[in-house]
Amino acid sequence: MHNNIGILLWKEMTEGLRSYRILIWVMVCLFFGILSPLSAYYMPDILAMIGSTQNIALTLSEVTYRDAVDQYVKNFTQIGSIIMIFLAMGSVAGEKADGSLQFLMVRPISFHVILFAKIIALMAMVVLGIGIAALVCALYTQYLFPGFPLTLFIQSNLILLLYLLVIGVMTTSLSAMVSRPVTAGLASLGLWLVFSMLGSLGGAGWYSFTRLASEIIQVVEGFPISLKPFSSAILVILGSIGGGLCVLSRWEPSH
Amino acid sequence: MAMIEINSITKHYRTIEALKGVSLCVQEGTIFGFLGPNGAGKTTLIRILAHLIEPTSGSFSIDGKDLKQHIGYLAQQPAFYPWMTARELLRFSGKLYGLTSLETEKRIHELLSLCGIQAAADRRVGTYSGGMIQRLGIAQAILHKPKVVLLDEPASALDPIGRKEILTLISRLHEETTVFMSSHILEDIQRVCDEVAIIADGSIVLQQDMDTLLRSHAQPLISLEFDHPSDALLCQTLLSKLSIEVAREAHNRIVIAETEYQNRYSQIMNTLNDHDLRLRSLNKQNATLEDVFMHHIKERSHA
Repeated sequence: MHNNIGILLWKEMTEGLRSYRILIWVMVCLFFGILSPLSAYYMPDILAMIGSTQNIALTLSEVTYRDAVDQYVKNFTQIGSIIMIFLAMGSVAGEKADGSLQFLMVRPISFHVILFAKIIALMAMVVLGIGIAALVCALYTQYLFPGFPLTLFIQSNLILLLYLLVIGVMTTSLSAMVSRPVTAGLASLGLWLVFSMLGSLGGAGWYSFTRLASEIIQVVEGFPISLKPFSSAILVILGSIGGGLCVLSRWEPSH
Repeated sequence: MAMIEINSITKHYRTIEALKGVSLCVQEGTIFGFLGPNGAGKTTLIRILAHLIEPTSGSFSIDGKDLKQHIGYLAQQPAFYPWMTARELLRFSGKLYGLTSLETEKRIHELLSLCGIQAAADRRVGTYSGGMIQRLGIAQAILHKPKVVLLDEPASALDPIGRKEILTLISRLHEETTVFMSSHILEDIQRVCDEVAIIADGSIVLQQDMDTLLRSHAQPLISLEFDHPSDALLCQTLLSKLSIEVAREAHNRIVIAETEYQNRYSQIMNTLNDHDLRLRSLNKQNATLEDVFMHHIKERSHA
């Protein structure tokens, strides 16, 4: 057995680039990074304009950097999560379905290395996207809003990164368990919704990784954070990888 | 020296018994043909040897070991990454097998030329025709100089020209490796293989080298050609009533065993005369692998 993780990472990253997966993700992140502070800043003007056409006076309390960050977090934890599921759902199931996974299976590589290479490539893509989004968002927010806590915002992005990694790893692992990308996508979407519903409850809801979204805001505000959603995030990541490896190592091609 | 040793391999899929205790021995440097009708278990055995699926019981070894490093594999419907070029795919494969960059580049150069895909080496695989995919499939299977190359129906999806080219390529491979190829196209196996095994319904029916097989199992045949297909059909019916085993070879031609023809010559001729069946030609022909195959498959189905 050779150390093939490097060459598999090259394959995953090149595929990501040539299939425009990385480009799509970076563009989405860039869009959210720019849109969040701008939409927060211009929201009073937009509402006033809408109100004037309807002869209604709409008033909004003074917008601050909190609105920009809130918008940023919502964009990523809602639309961003769905895009992440869409991008990761075919990572293993797609190769099973088109037969190209057999190319790797007959070579001296373990299933662990195949799955880890996919997860590491996904992590690299998420880090790149969030890095760009955070940079752009920080620049605009600092320019538009006074008193923006830049250091805390950077720290909060680490939690956002973890949130998206949970979604990505969960989807990739589900993709390793099933034979069709759409099944992996639907299963991941279903699990995400279950965790979101659980997260909206009190008590046990604190153990849902989707509560990380509110922890991001806590960090920016400089408030203490709860470790409960972090423990859930780590458990979901480890459980997903374990389940994915277990099923993938028993997989046999049917065509 | 035995290169592939397969010992009592079985494979069950829920209620289906795909392989029933298959044992085979393949000598080094041979081109081994693995014949069988569709669904006989050919692909299942090749996938077991390629480490794609696990046998339910039994074992196998390649050169005394059980290592993926020693095997090159071409699937029945090969699927490669369509976004890679052929050169990139071969380079990727070489690195996965632990070849150095220098070794890989040298080998890629040799193989692109051997497989006739030099001109398209830097084109994306997604733009390749079926024949080119198959040639690339052979190149990736032998890149790391494996001790055994497993080819699952390598020419069955190709047109006659593509088939001929692939078979010529396969016949050159025995200079550097042992080839284990499956097919249901008997002509292909007869054209390139030194040794053959026939599998039917998950069991090996026979294993023998090609020349001995054709000599010992096959009998010379007599081909009777008629002007009209209806005459051939009538003759087939009449001879069958006389308990003579008849095979239809073409729409206006039937074949019978030479011994049968000699022993019952007058009876056959009288039947033809009585029904005014006029022969266009009568030829002796050597037995083919198809005759042996059909004989064994029929024998098995009767049993």
